[in-house]
Amino acid sequence: MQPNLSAERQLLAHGYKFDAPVNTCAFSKDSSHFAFGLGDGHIILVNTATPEGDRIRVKAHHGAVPALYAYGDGFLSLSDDGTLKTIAFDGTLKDIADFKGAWTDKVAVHDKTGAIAVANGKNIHLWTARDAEMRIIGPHPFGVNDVCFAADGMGLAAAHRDGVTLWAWPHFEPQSNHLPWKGAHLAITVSQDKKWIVTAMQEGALHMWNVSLKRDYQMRGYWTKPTKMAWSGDGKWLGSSGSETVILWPFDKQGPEGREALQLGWSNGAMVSALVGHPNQNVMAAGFEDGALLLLDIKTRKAFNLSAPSGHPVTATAFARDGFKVIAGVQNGGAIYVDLES
Amino acid sequence: MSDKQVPVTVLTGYLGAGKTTLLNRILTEPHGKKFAVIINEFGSVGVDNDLVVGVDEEIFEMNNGCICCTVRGDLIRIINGLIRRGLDKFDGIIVETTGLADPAPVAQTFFADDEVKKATRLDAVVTVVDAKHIKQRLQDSPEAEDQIAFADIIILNKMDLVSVDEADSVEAHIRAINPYAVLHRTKNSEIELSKIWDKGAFDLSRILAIEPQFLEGAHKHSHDTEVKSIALTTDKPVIMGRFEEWIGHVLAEQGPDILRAKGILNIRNAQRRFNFQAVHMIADSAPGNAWKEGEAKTSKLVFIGRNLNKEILEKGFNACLDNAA
Repeated sequence: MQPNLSAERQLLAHGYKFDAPVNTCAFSKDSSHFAFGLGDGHIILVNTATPEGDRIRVKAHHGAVPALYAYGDGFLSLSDDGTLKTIAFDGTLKDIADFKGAWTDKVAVHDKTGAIAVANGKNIHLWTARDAEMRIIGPHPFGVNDVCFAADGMGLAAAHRDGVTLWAWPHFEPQSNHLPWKGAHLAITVSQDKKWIVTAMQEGALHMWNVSLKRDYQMRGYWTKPTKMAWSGDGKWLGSSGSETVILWPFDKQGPEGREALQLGWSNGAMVSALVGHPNQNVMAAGFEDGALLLLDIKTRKAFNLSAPSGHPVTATAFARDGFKVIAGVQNGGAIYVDLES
Repeated sequence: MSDKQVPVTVLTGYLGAGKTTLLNRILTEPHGKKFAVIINEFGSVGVDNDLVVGVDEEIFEMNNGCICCTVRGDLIRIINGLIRRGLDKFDGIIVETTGLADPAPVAQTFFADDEVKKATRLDAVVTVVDAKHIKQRLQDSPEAEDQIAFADIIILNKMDLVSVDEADSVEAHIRAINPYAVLHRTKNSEIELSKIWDKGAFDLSRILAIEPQFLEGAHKHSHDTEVKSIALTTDKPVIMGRFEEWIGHVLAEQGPDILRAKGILNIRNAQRRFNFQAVHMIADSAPGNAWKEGEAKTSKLVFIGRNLNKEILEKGFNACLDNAA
């Protein structure tokens, strides 16, 4: 289903203002609710049927909330105070783990199976439906900076200094697949077809491994450290932050080698600060450091303004699974909900 | 962006010099300022005690493992944690390093990491020195020497344990390594916050004020220490393109030996000063204050490091000048 982007019309949007920076945001699996994770540990829950109505505000964590995902009939949130919890639509909290005193800011969730992987120091803590208990995967040679599931849930990729380590079900042997590349790999993503593993690096570059061809490429030239990566709905484009436009690399055919990146979206020279791919269309939502939120149509190369610059960086944005709703949060505590169907 | 850059004070000093005492003083003095304190090698932060975490020291090597281009991954992470909480809550950030820490990756983090650079500015590297034991330390520990070389402000502490003559001798020793730092003599780390905080010490403005004679005097003591400083001064305008090319070359070639480089330059045809600084190979520059009417437009460039050759540096720098002016 394609949201109607072309019509000249006023979209229905609701603005919010919270008293702490918005760190993260997510829609629930059924698109019925959305949530914001705040820098003071609060989670805000909103029903999409009544976006202007009552909201549930729950103090979930002592620290900030760097990660928030749809999970079961609710949400999963990870705080940098080391606590991992689920939050039901009514605000009921359930403790999953407490990595007491550990610095945790990255968690991966596998949608279909509900598996959870948390980067904790040099290890990954893994919960799966298959295992009765949590398993510790590691140690890695250095601290794990990010972790990602393969789309089929049968593999796990960890980004760390000097490369990537791949783990495969069911034995989690560190296969012969340490993918080396000097430098700090800060974020990681795996293509839907599992052919490509891409990391974002400290020195303003993406590193890409074609696993089947056993080749790798370095994509340099970013203005600043790329921290956000997102796939288009068909999985053929990988968007990235790190510049004043979204840099999109083509992953159809042989991949990005020797091909030009597409640049989409611009807001007065501000850097891209938040990025998310549409669940099934070749559309992305991009937030900028000046507060603008744009909807980018990769097919037509057009950008649609969802929110004007507020002067404060957009920190997070998310699409609903139904493809018709967008939310975004801002560093000054502002947030927006846009109904693309309206 | 709209949010101001929060000043960062990096507190270094050898074990037992009085860093923790100084930190406690800063935190308990009734100055009405709110600080985020990052201690224990960036594992914990004293922000209402809400962020006490354990991490390993993480050195991120950039550019294919070049030692000169390292930043502290743990420091980046924890500053990102503070940004998530809202940096506008804080008047400043104090980073306390362990006695054995190399100050370079810590300082480089504030130049080289984009997120950190945007949200914060390095105000000063403050080094606490134990007046009684520093001479011994300088003989057996390169870290102690580096910490002095890196300092913008030096607290010469434990003055109650040394005689005036001893103190003068220690100060001369320190000056041989780093003549540009502001030096305060204290006992029990007793010093007013205003003397060490939000001085913009890292923005170089005071280095012009240091008299060349004083430098020459300090150099007399440099025979017994490996780290030294070199100052280049000129009244001729500097040609930007040539300077960039030359300094880039110098840093690439001699980066490992250059602990700090700082400069205030009169760029040809520019109304404002040009401020330049580098740690090893990582450089940062920005326009400074405008030159005042009638003010002597003196350019000055300072290098602190090892194996520095003044003649070669001077020759290179002179080739960047507009001799016709």
